[in-house]
Amino acid sequence: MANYAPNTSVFSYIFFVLLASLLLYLDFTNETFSKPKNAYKTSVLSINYFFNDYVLEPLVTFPQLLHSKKDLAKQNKDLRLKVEKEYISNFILSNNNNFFLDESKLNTLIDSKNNLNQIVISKLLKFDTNNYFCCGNHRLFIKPLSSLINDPLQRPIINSEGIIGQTINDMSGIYEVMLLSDSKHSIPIFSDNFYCNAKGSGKPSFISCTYSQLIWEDSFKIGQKFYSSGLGGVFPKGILIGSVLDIKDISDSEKEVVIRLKVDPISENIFGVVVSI
Amino acid sequence: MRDESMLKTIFLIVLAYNIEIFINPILQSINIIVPLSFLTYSYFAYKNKNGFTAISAFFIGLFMDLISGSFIGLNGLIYCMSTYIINSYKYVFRLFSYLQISIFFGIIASVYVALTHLFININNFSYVTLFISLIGNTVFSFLISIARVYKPILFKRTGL
Repeated sequence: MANYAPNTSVFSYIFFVLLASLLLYLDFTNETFSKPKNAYKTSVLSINYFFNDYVLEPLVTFPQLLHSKKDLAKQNKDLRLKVEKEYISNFILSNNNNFFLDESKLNTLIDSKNNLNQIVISKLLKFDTNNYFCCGNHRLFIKPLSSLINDPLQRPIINSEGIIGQTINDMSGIYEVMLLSDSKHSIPIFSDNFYCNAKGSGKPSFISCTYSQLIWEDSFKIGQKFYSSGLGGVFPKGILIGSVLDIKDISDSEKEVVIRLKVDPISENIFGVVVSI
Repeated sequence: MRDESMLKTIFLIVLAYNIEIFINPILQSINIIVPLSFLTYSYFAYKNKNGFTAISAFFIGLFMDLISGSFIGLNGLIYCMSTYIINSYKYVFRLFSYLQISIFFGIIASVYVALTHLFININNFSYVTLFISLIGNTVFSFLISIARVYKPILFKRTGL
């Protein structure tokens, strides 16, 4: 007698395939399940943070305690943190390399008494490099080292090289950052008199601008620098974003300018949240 | 051939997912994507004597959606479809050689990569990546299958 393959009842599969399709449609079009997903992410990140800071680190430093090197280890850690904070403040203070288009823009970012009081230093909690390299979803999670931010959403995030993205989600003190290269992100930029909304390409370190040659007849040069325009009110004006890598023809009248970002978000673990511009 | 418990299966799939997070950024440089968690699931679905039910495939898929941060229902949908295909060919696989089974797993892994990229990476959808991933996944599956033959003690010890 012939054997029938087990668990191949078509009806149950059709039911679950339809159910999964419905869930997928709801999440894809309306982001219906963003709350449970955020709750899950928050709990995982909080557990990781708690485990690393209160369980793993004390265990790792325990032998050092036994050897009376606790102070040395703490001093080392504090110094490392200070160095990383200095990198961030250097970014704000630096006016060489034409980083800022206009030096007067520095004054809008810096308070003369304390150059860090408008930047909240934050630590990287999680960065899914798999998604960053494979797919268009470029996000990372940070946690402020000092006080929480009152209105944390749509704040520019910087590292020692420049702008990397903006906060999009507050998960009980853990902030989700959408990077400039995320396929859903766009940043208003300009070069000379040309203004555009540069969209994230979904590829690491690349954004792109599309324009019609019927409207903009001038050509771009490879290496031409693009700066943030400040339109939209999220990012400060006049900060170097990147330079032109390639210019592609989309159609007879439309062109795409591919811009390589100046900043590599995976190079550092400490970031600054620009609280007031 | 004894069946693994569902808890152990889920644990190993999650473990495979965590390994996948580390290896895929490296393999991306040569345009290969190895969906290790999906391949692990497919392996257990293939190895299970009675095959996974639609409901277990659906819920394992939803669980993977949650931990991987993809759209809810995406893995659920693909896991259900792949389970149906694997169950349907359960007895036919006995007639196949290791190479043929590896090609089958390579194909379904590439279909998985294609479907997930349609939703989460449509801007950079690449047929080259798919084609190279097909070869990479087939070779990977074949290496695993011959490892079972030439290094059986490893699989016996771990109960796989």
